[in-house]
Amino acid sequence: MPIIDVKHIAYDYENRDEEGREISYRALDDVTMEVQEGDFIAVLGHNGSGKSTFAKHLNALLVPSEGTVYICGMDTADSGSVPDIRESAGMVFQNPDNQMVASVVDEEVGFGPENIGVPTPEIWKRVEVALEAVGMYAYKDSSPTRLSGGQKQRVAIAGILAMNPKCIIADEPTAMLDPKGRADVINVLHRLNEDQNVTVILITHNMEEVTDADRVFVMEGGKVVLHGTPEEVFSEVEVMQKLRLDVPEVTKLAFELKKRGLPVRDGILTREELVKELKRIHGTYNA
Amino acid sequence: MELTTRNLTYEYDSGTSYAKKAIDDINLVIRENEFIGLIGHTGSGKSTLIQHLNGLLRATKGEVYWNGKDIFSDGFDRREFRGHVGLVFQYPEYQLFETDVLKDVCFGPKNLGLSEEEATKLAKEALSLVGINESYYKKSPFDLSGGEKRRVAIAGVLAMRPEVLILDEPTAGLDPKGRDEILGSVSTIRKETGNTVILVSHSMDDIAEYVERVIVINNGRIEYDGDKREVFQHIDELESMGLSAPQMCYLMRDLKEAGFNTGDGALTVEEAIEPILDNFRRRNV
Repeated sequence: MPIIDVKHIAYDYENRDEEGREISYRALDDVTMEVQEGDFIAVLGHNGSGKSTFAKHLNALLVPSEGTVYICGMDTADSGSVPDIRESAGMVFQNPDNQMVASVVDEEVGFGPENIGVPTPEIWKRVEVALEAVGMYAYKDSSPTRLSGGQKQRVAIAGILAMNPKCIIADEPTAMLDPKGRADVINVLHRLNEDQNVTVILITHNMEEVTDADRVFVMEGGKVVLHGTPEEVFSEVEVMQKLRLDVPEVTKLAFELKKRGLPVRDGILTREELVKELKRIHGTYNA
Repeated sequence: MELTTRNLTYEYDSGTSYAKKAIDDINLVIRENEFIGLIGHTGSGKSTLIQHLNGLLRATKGEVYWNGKDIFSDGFDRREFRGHVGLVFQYPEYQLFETDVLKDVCFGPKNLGLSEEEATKLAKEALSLVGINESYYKKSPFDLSGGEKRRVAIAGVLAMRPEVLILDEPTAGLDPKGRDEILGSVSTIRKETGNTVILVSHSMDDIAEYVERVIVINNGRIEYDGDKREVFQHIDELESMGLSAPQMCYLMRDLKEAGFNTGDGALTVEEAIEPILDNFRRRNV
C-alpha cells in the first residue's frame, strides 16, 4: 500500500470580486501521485505553480475539491481521520520564526506529543530522541529566539519527529537559510529518510537540493508536467528553463559543453559525475 | 558619492548579561557605481550593518560618513539622506499598503517632500526600471504575483533615486526565473543610473554572477573585502564561517586535482565553459 496515494485531485480557491460575484481559481488540476514508504520525493515548480497547495493536501490542511487523498490508507476528506493523518504526516514550513511557540527548545519539541495526550515520561523520551536525531540536543535548554534560522528549522523538524510520523512534508524549508543552515536541514532530512525510513516530500526552488531524491515531480499550472528520477528530469534542461525553473549548475555546464561539441552524456547531476565524464572523454581524445 | 564607516560597533542589550556585539569595528569605503555583495551566515551582523548604512540604527561606537559628513552630526538631514541610501528589506512585498501600484511607489518621494506631480514622474520611471508597465498602475498591489509585488516594492525605494541601493535578500522565496528577473533589473538599473548596489544574499551563485566586490562578515567583523575572484578562492575559510563558494569554484578545484588545466577563477557556468574546452582543444592540435 502506498503511504501517500493522491488520486486525480483538483482544488479550487473560492473568492469574491468587487461586486461580490463568486470567482474560483483552479490551483490544482488532475494531480495523481503515489509515494511508497521510505521514498524521498522532491517537488519543483515556479511560484504559483500549485506546489504549496498540493503540500497542504498531504496533511489535510486542505481537502481536495475533486478526487481523493489517502495518507496511510486514511481519506483526508474524512474529518474523523484528520488527527491521525496529522500524526502520520507532519509539515515544516518556510519561515522558522512563524513555527516556534514555546520559550524553551525542549518544550517546543514536546508541544506536539503533549497536545495529543502522550504521557509525560514518554514525551521527554521522544523529545530527547528527536533532538538527538537533528543534532540539536545540546540546545535543549536554549530559547528558540536565540537560535539561527537553520537551527530553528531543525528544531521544527524535531517537533514533528516527536510525533513519530511516517512522513515529513517540508515546504521550502531552506528558502530563508544561509548555506550551512541549508546543508544541515537537507542532511537531517536525508538521514531521517535513510536511518528511520521516514518518507520525505521536499518542496524547493534549489535544484542542488534535489539531486539525491528518489523521484522528482515538476508542477506547472496546478498539474504535474514532468516526473522521474533526478537524472531524467534534469536531462530536460530546456523544458525546465521554459517552466521558469533551472537545473543544477553542474548539469547546466554539462549541457553547455555538449552544445559546443564535447560528447558529454546526459543526466549529469554532481561534480563527481562531471569530473569522471570529462576524464573519460579526455582518455578517448588521447587514444 | 562616498559612504564610509569608521570603527563602527553596535552592541545589543548593552549593560546586561546578554550584551553582544552585533558588529565590531567595521571600516568600509563605498564608492560610486560599485556592485557589492555582502555575505555572512545568519546572525553574522549583515542586517545590523546595513541598518547603520542608512542611519536606521545609531552605532554604540564609531561613525558613518556621507560625503565626509557624520550622519549623526548636528544639522545633518537624515530624512534626505535616507533618500540617498535606499534600503529594501527582506520580503519587502509585506510593506506594500496603498490601494494601487502607482500610489504605493509614489509614497517614498512624496515623503521626501516632493509634489504629487514630481513624485508621480519618479514613480513611473522607477516602475519602468523594474519592468512594470502602465497596465499595472491601477492594479491593487495585492493582486500581483510574488515576483511582481517584490519588483513594485523595490520601485518604491528606487523612486527616491537613491545613490546607494541596499537590497536585503531580494530573491528569498522566489523561483529561479523570478530571481533572475529581479537581479537582472537591479543590474540594468545600476548600469543606467550609475548608482551603487549592495546585495545581501545567501546564494553564492547569485553573488558570483552579479557583483564585483564581495564583503564577508563573520561574528560582526569583516573577514574579507575585495574582488569576488579573490574572495572566493578562500573556499575552506568561507566554509568554516558557515558559508560556501559558488558551485563552479568547487568543480574547478576538483578538475584541477584531476589534472585538468582550469585557468583561474571561473565563478559561473559561462566562465567555466572556455577553460574546460581548452583542455580538449590542445589535445586535438
